[in-house]
Amino acid sequence: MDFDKLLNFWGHHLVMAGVWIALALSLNLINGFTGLFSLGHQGFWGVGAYVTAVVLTVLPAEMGWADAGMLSFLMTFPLAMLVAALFGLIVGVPCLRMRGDYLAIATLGFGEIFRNIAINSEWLGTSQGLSVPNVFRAFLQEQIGLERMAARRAEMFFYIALSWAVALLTLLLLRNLMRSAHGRAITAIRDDETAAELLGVNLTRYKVLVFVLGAALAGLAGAVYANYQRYVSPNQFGFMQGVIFLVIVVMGGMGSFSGTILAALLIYAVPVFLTFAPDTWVIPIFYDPTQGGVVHRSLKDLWQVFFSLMLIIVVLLRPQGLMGNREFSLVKLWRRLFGKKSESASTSGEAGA
Amino acid sequence: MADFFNFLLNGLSIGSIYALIAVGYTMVYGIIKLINFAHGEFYMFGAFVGYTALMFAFGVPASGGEPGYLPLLAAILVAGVATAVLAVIVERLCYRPLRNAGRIVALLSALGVSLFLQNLGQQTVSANYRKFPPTIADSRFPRSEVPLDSIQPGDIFSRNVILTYAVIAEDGRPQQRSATVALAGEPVEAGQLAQARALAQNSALEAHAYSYARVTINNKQALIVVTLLLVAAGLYLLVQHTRFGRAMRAVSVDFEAAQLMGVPVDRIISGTFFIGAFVAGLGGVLAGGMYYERIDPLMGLMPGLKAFVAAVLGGIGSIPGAILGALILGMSEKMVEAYVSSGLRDAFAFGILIAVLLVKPSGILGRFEGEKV
Repeated sequence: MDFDKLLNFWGHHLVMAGVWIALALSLNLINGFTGLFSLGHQGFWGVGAYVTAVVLTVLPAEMGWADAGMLSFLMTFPLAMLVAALFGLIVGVPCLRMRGDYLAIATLGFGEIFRNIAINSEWLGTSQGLSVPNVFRAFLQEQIGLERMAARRAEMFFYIALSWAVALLTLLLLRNLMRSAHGRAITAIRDDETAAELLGVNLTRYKVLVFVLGAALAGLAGAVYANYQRYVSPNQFGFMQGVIFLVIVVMGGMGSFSGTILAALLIYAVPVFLTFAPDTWVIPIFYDPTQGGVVHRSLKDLWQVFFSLMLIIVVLLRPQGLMGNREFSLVKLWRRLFGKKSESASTSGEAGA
Repeated sequence: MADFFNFLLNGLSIGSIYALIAVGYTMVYGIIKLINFAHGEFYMFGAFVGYTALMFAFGVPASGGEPGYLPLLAAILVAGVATAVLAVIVERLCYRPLRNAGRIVALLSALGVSLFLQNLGQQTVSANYRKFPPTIADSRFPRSEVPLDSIQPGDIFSRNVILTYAVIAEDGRPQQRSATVALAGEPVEAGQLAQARALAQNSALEAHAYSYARVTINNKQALIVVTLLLVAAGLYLLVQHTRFGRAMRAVSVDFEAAQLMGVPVDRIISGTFFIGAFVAGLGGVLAGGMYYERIDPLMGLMPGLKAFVAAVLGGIGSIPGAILGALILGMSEKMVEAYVSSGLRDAFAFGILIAVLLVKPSGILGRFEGEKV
């Protein structure tokens, strides 16, 4: 295979994996670290993506501006964060008075309302969605003077770097937050809300802070996604997409950064690798005369079934997730594998806790 | 004005569909405080069992005419029992082990079950829509028959006169059609009348011309509403006047105290799942199958969410509340669809949900439960 084909295929998956990691991390802040149960994360992601499309497509057309330039492109990122944060505030302030499962349902309601409005708004392109111009490539070709092929490659490398930079930014921001005094207050809320309040933790302030921050980071990931895909439509931000991020957080461990990253990579990568399975690898799964007898499905199709089964099994056997709230560290792994006897005994004791 | 009442009746039947799903939601929530996300999938499962029963057991595709009420009733019962058994198994395997693990963990398990049933459905029976086999003929009431032969060109009727006839569809089964013979207040045209007579002559089933009242209800919608009334009466008797119902109420008020008093809590919870899923399964056959005539593995998602909204609106945990909430939701949704925008119907329903949760989280008929520390 030639270089460009490989770059297109793996580049795409690298960009998307970065976006997924960023989204799963910001959802873990809300669901895992704070214990607020949000089912509306896909909505904030969608808000960020739609802000990007509006800034680059709708506004120039409506206002009769010139085509969106590099400045508008750069503006989409902070704007997407800001507007998503604003939505986080609007949803968060009233909804955070609710507890547990009621909050889950209310945030789910927000996600569906957002999608429904996008479907019905001419301005937001109805169910057809909006296309986003390729501002960055135009910049590379016209301003820098790159050839078409070179510009395409440069664009792909740029988006890989961008999406992983956003994932890294999210990780560093959240890790530093959780290591600070604020982080301990947030953990206290998760562990026992009533006790935390009695100890003087301002519940409303921290919950709103967490919700707004999570929404803003999802919005940023949305801007990256919209600019990269150059297309937004309501169905990309459906309830099922949100459930996938939730599953990542649950499987990785509510309150573990490395667990979330590993789970995001795993859940993103498995179906990608399953596409390589030969077409002849099909499994008879069902008998249905109206479909002409025995129904065969490929491994990639069955992954969806396996994935949901895995969620049930993880919840049943290990409700704290694969990593619990521990972090994966190469140093510890090295010590455990090659360290002295006494050291390895102490670390394995820790792991068993 | 007639339109308004027609919309209201339409909304009533849609609300009844939501109600058939919502009672199961509310019963399960009332007894173990679990939002059973998989409940919408029980409705879907019921519709598919009903489909299978009609297609393969009762030989509907082979028979020529309309199958009528008896096979439909049998399909409903089979679907209800199969769905109830599925629900009991799901409860035993996926919810019971998590009963003391916290509400969010159980909610995740329910979400997993819901996803699993949807995905499994898509991979086995395929994600495409299927046409449900014909059950009973469509008709609207009140109406009065106008013999076609008695109509003369130039006659004026005070109501629309509509011909009901049938053609043989591609699958070899008769399919019901209708054609206008005369519009209210306008003289009957000779050409239109001749056309109608020709259609009646060639009809695959017996053809009739009816003049309809301004406000009518579809027989399938009426059947759904009647079923809901029967279900509501049955549940009332069960909950208020049987030993099982008393045990259910006891578990709902205080799980541990009920256990200490010798109530077989596990069996009561299984029974609650059985009944709730039975109603959802029969709802699937009636609504998804008989009424909409389109079934697919994702058909439970939206009605399930809407039914949950209805249960919250009425006060989750309360059976009369769930029915009331569902009827209000169905009718107001229909009004939004008719007078505001058909597309914003879902947004409106979820808007109601958020508003209720903010203003009165206990819903219309629910009771407030303070947090125990």
